[in-house]
Amino acid sequence: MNKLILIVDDSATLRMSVEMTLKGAGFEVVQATNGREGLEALQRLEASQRRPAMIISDVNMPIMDGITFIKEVKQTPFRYLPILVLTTEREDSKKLEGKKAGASGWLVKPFKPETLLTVVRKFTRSLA
Amino acid sequence: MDDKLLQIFAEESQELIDSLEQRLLQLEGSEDPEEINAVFRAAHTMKGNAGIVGFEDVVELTHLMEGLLDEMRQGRCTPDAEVVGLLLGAVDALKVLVQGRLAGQSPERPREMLAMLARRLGEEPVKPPISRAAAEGPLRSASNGDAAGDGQALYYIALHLQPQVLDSGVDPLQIMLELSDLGRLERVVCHAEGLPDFGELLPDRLYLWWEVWLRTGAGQEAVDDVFIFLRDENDIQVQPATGLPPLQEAAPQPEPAEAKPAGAPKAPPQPAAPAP
Repeated sequence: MNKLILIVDDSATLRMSVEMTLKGAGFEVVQATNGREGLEALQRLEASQRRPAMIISDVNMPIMDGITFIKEVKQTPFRYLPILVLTTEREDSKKLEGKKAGASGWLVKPFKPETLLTVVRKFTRSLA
Repeated sequence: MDDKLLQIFAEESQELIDSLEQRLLQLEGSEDPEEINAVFRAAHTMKGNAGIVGFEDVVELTHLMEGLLDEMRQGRCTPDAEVVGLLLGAVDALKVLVQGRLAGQSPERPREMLAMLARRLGEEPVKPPISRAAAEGPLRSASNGDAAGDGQALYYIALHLQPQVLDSGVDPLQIMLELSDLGRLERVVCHAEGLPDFGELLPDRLYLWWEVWLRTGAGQEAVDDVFIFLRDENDIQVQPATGLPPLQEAAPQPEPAEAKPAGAPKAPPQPAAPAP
């Protein structure tokens, strides 16, 4: 079974772009448009006994923002999953906030597909 | 550029532009921070999307709109008739640009509008700082893809991670796998002296640290990149090494019942954990 990645971002264009890149590299992708949907997606995955290899989350989203989302994920059985935060140039403070909340790393938008893949591979290697 | 991606972009742009326009029409004299934030976010998302599909002129315009809306968001600028009017004009220019680009054309740069926005922001009308190099700076080895090394070099890595590092989704095994992708792990020594008694051991804390000797032709930058998200809070040393230190002798074995004949060679010390 392919490794699964959850992408949480309120931009449909970004989600599609990330999905295209990741699918092209053999990953399966689940999309959510904000933190609340992200948590719901995780619950559904847990119910079907699937575990994402990692989560990629934007910071600014309506309903539930990225930092809150990360803190919530840390209260679920998925608390040890690597989480990558997507920030923009102006948002240096968000990198730090993300880290404090327990994110594993960050990527600054706009990013090249190759860069995304390099970072994703960093967190999703396994012995198999 | 992928058709499917452009289609999603087109649909989303329509929604964002509509949202911008409608909210701006309501915005004059508004004190509602939520409303101002919503307009800001629409411009912000529009700018991000334009960057993804490579419409740099749209990025340029939305960057200035975003800047002005940010001033509003921070309370440094009130949404009076003049500013709102200016932004509505910017939305019109935005529509022209987006429609033109989606139709495969090269629309004219909206110089006047850009200048007006820039003036209002108190800036010189320069292109926005979309420095991909800066944005992706740390991951140099990914961005330019050429190895600094012109031959194999040996690096010594001392990996001291915080005990709570597992909480951040860090997996030392993945670090080792990433290092081994770069070349050959000549030696890995795992230090377990920090392990408490089993009864005190917390399963989600890290008690181990490692020394690694890596032989690679990828150069030090590539090795440093492995630790890019870890450097700040953890104690990680990466330095060129001249050679492997001598192996430590295995702990003395209990004497066999029969004494070995004199002159028989001792068993050679076993090497540490082999590279995966």
